Amino acid sequence: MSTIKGLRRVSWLAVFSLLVAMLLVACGDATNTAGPAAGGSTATTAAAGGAAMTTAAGGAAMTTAAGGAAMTTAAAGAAMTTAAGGAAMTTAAAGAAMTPNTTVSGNVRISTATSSPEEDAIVDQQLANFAKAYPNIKVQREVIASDYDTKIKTLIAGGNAPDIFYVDSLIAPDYINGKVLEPLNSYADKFKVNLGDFYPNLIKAFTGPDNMAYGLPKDHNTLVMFYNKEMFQKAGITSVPTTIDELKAALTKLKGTMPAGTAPLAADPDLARVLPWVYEYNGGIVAPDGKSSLASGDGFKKGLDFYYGLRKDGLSKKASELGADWAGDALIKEKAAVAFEGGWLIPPLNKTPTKDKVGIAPLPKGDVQATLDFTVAYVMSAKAKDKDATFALLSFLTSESQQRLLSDIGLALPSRSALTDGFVQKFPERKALVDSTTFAKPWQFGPGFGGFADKINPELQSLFSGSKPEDQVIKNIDGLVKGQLQ
Amino acid sequence: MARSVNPAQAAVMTGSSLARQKLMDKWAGVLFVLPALIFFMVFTAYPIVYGLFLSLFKINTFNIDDRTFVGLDNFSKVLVSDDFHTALLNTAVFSFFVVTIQTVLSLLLAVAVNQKIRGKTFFRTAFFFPSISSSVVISIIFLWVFNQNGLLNYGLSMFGIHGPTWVDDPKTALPSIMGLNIWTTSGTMMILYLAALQDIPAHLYEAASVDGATPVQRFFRITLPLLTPTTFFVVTLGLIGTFQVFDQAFVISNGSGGPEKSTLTAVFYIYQQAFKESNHMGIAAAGSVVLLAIIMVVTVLQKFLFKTDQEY
Repeated sequence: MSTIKGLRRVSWLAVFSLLVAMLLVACGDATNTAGPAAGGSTATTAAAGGAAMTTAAGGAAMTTAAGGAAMTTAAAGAAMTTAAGGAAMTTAAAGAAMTPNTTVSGNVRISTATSSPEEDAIVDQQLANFAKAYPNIKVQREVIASDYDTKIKTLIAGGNAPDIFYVDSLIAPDYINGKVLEPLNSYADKFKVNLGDFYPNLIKAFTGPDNMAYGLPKDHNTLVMFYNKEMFQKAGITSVPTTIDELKAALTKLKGTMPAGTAPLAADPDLARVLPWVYEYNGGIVAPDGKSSLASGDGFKKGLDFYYGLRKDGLSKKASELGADWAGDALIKEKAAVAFEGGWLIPPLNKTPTKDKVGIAPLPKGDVQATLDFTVAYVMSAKAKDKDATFALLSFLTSESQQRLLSDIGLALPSRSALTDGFVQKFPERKALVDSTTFAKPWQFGPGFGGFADKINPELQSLFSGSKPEDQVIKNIDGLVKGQLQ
Repeated sequence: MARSVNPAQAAVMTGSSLARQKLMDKWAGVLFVLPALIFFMVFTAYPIVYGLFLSLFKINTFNIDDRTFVGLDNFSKVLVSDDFHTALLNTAVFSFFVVTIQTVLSLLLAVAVNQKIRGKTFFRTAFFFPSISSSVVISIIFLWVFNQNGLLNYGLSMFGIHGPTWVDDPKTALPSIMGLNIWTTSGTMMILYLAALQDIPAHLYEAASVDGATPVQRFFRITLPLLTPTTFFVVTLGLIGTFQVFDQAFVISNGSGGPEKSTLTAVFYIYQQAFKESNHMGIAAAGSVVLLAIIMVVTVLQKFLFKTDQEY
């Protein structure tokens, strides 16, 4: 009797462990499929990251949950074949050109976000190169897997800041204002690093009110228009829209030819997607002097009218309504013909067959041509012990040869203008991203505006869901800006 | 006293050795609780006191030692904040539905798996399983379940219902999180009920049967009253847990508390103040103190509500 009972128990146990195993496999699948959508960030943060794109500034804003996916370079996942080849080539070149510097020594702690195995490998490669170039500097690397900005803030508050870390343009003013960063100008002179080699608007994003540079941009990404050529063709659209009116006409044409469950445009209620259009109508949200709100202005209303108008006319849907994690994901899944995203869309896109159908163009022009630029810099903690050694690493990582490792696999655009030509030659289809740099405005509003998008987005969400009328939303946003300025 | 002493041995013990024994027992007791006590002091008591202290200061985000005393200013800021009101309302709604449903559900589950049915061990394990999984992992799985083209809407579509975008619709986002929370915690509560059910002496049921009580009568007249202490415990645990809900809301709303602040919970608000705003750590601390006070008041109120004097 008891043996039968025992057997029964064992068989239940077997059935149960099988179920558990199946569930685990299912989880694994879920996170794996989430991976590419999230821009290649790993494991548990993956799914969160995917959606982070929709709420965050897309690539750059590290302020939201998925720090990993939120880096400019976020995207990741790049085309592996080119990655390996490119990296190997440049490393060889970089290695040959360098004579080891033994005069600078010390210990440096660097904290990096991890957005993808590919980017991780590049950083490892860069640090290995550095070890060869500066054999007397000992580097300790710490990886922060998610919610990067929160963890860095906590480390700083606890007096345990890493010597080098990432800061993105949106939160940079808070860090500069908080006096936790070291101005880099004197070190740049000492190490003969020419700040003029970087794009001026990128350096400017990390320049304090004292005109000192507090960070060296590691890369950047602009917001552009991704479109599905096949769908355009089917709708009889022969030329890529270059103005807002042409875009509207094209989307209207698309609407008639697209199947149910799709939309011509995937567009989320997100400040980082509304703002380019506001800029295109000469509007803004915070005055350039950082002293007054422009949200009640004409340009803001026109920009919002345009972006929200597309939704009212049934030309755009939210990514979630299309069963996608973010607008770029909707484009990848061919649920939308157009999405406004940055270079971070390219690596996940390249993993799918959709890649051959997608074209990239600058945002269509309104009264003026504009877009947003998301950038991340390496900064030095004001409390770094061996400051020379720290700067040696900081400037090394942003140097031409080392940046090329990153830009060669297409993770993001190089922050040095000298690398641009090579980048365009290598990735001619990404020319629109580079061209947009000239008229792009930085994703930045001034001190205190670090978590700003998170405050504005709920208002935009209520506009999109229809729970608040547009003029009410504009009034509320104006109130939020004014409240922040005080 | 926990230490068992052989009666024969005890008889030969002298008075002084017995006293020494007692003292030893005392120290042994202290020694045994010491690790837990240290853990409690370092990770619970100290943070609570420090939090109270911080709530009276305006604190530099980047340097916790750079602070200025502002008295109760942080509290007045928290109490008039619209976001905090939204967060409290969301939390209250969340707590009410989750605690009610999960308490009833876990009781029913416990009663069900306490029956002599085939494969009850399997069911017990299966119901308990969600509780041992990481809430973040479960939340991510549910993100896929709740997707516009996900499992849930697929199921609904078989009945001809066109489901909403669950977690991106302000009307359904919070209920979605409630559902997943109930699913995860009911198992734990079920185990508690199950243990209590097995503690009820069988002779009470036998006596009731002899007196001709129906199964329904036996449930309402014997089982339920005798489970009151457990119900108190389950409801208290549930309230504390739901008042502190954060991780699921964080993952489901992707760190935003949206859409339209519909998943902004009290702890979420505190998190945002602490880490997303500049120099608001004091406000966050004040928010935590307010939340602590609310949880304490609710727990005490509950204690009156569940006044138990049954003994068996």
